[in-house]
Amino acid sequence: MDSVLTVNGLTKYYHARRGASKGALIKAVDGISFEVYPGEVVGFLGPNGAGKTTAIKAITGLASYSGSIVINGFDLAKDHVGALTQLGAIVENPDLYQNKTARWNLKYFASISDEARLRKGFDAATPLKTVIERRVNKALETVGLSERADTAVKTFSLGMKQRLGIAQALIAEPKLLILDEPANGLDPDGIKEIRSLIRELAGRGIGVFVSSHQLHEMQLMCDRVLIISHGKIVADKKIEDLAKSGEGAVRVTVRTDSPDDAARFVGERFGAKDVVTNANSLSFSTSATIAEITKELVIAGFNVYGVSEDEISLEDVFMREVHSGGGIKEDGDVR
Amino acid sequence: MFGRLYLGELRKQTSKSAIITLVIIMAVLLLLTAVLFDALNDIMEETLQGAEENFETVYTEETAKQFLEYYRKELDKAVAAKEEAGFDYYRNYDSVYMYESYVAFMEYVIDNELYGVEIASVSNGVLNAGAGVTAETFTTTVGSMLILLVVIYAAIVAGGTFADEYKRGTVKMLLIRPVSRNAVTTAKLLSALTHTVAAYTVMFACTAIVGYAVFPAAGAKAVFSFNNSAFSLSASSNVLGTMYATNLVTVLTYAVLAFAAGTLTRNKVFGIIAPIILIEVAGAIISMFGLGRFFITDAADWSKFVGIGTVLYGGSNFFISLAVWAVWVAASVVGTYCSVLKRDAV
Repeated sequence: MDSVLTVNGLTKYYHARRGASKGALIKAVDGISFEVYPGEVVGFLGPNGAGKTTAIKAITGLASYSGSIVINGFDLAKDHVGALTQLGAIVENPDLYQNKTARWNLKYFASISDEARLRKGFDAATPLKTVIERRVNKALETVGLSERADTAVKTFSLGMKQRLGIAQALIAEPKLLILDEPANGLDPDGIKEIRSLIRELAGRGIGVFVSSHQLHEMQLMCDRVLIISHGKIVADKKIEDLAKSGEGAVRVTVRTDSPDDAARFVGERFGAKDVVTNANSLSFSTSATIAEITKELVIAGFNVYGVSEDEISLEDVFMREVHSGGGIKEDGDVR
Repeated sequence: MFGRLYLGELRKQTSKSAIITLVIIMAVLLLLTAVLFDALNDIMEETLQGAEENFETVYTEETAKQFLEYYRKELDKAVAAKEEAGFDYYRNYDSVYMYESYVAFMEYVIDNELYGVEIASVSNGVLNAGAGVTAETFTTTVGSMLILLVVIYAAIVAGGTFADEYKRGTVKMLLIRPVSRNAVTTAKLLSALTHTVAAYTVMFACTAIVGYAVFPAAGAKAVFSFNNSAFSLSASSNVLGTMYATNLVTVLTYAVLAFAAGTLTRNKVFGIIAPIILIEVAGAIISMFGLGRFFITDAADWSKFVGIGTVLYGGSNFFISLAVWAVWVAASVVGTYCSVLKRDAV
């Protein structure tokens, strides 16, 4: 399957505007490469200043870059307008025209979108005005803002602005949807709604690239996550593979009455790593299966009361990957 | 696509509060100036009774030749003064150009034997119809004052069109649409110029309506000229056309300058005040160094080339002004396009 987004060696420098390194050239994004496929929700995680928004600005054509960005077959550098026809996005905040109504905003964005994409699924004889009106109504419905469509955006809550932001991103049926922190400012219900909306959009074959700080939310929402730290991608994992730490290893907890002896045994027998013992249990990382571990321990004469595979949360992975590089720095490397 | 982009910009740039403020200020100023000019008219009529001949607008062969003789002498003096002053001449207004225009005017009167007929003259785009205020005098005089209002409105619209989007973050929503940045810049510029033309036209029409409602039409024919040449005798009311056209160039130029200043700095306030600073301060300072003729404030005012007695910075004329104007406008436009195209939007 062809990707809807292929990023290859994306690098972005900028001049530091403040602080001790003012004027210095900073590498905000350092040669990152990844792909997003149709129907896939890819999370983009990283601490503040890791380069998330800088990368998103480059991908949405707002900032210059080196490397290559191809959106659904269109090279952003060579066919800027063509690539943007494939894209819907919120960058940073859903900054809309505050004094205008939600409907005005959507109509305006639709009117300057690609006509061919707007007309998709419509009769060629339908006037563009009607097409736009229907698209606007549908987008308002999708994000649940139909009732507030004719109110000025400045009266909206942050959550409503987020939803309107998603509506404008969807207005011309993009193949790639880029959402920068869409859960910001939303209450738990709102976050849940956005999550199901994003899953639904992915179900329609849209590739979704979403950045967030909310790791638990990302774990529920995404098929795959990229973790960026100091401008570099330090992890690219499918959510279902999160529990596997390192090379296919899982973390296992064994309840037994002689954890210290058992610890020596699994160390020799299975090459267990990072062994931690408690009064009645021990846990360790291993590539052996639960069945093998149970069988060998019982044969060796240990009293085994329970063996379980630990769930590794995205937070664990995030902390491990981000902190393994020597802690979080606010900026990239100063050259 | 471009049409929709342009229409969107027209709507975005329409600010009810700015328009209402503009209309109120314009109405107040028109009312005040109409009352003032009317009172002035009464005073002039009283004081000038029986002194009508002092405001000579009817030439005889004799008076015309006397005037020509006088202006030629003044021109010779001005030329001598210019030679003596050297570079300092360029720090002051150009008396040579001014007397050349008077000489050319009197030569036109004599060549065409415009004797015994009442003729008005145009000076710096304004109609001088002898004693008393006429509708055309009012419209051109007040109209040229009120263009400052239009310049301010144009600066708000043109200076803020990109700056506001950068400030409010909407520029991101705009520039991720599948339209080229040059198209966005063009739409914004054309839309701001449309607003400027509309505001200026309304202002000029209102001034003319008040002028013709309160004061009598000049009636007499007037001598028109452009850049001390192309002399012609035609209806006085034509001065409205020349005034409208030349001042339109001025307000559009300031709109372009505000557009460039606001977009390059991404700051609306700078966009608004930059053209006004150019008018009031920078032009005066630069002229002290003898470079006034190369400055846009002088070059953008074409109304002064219409008629006689034009006051110009030393060494200038219409073609120098046109070249200077073209360079400033082109640099502003090209600079703005490059800035939008090449700089990161955020």
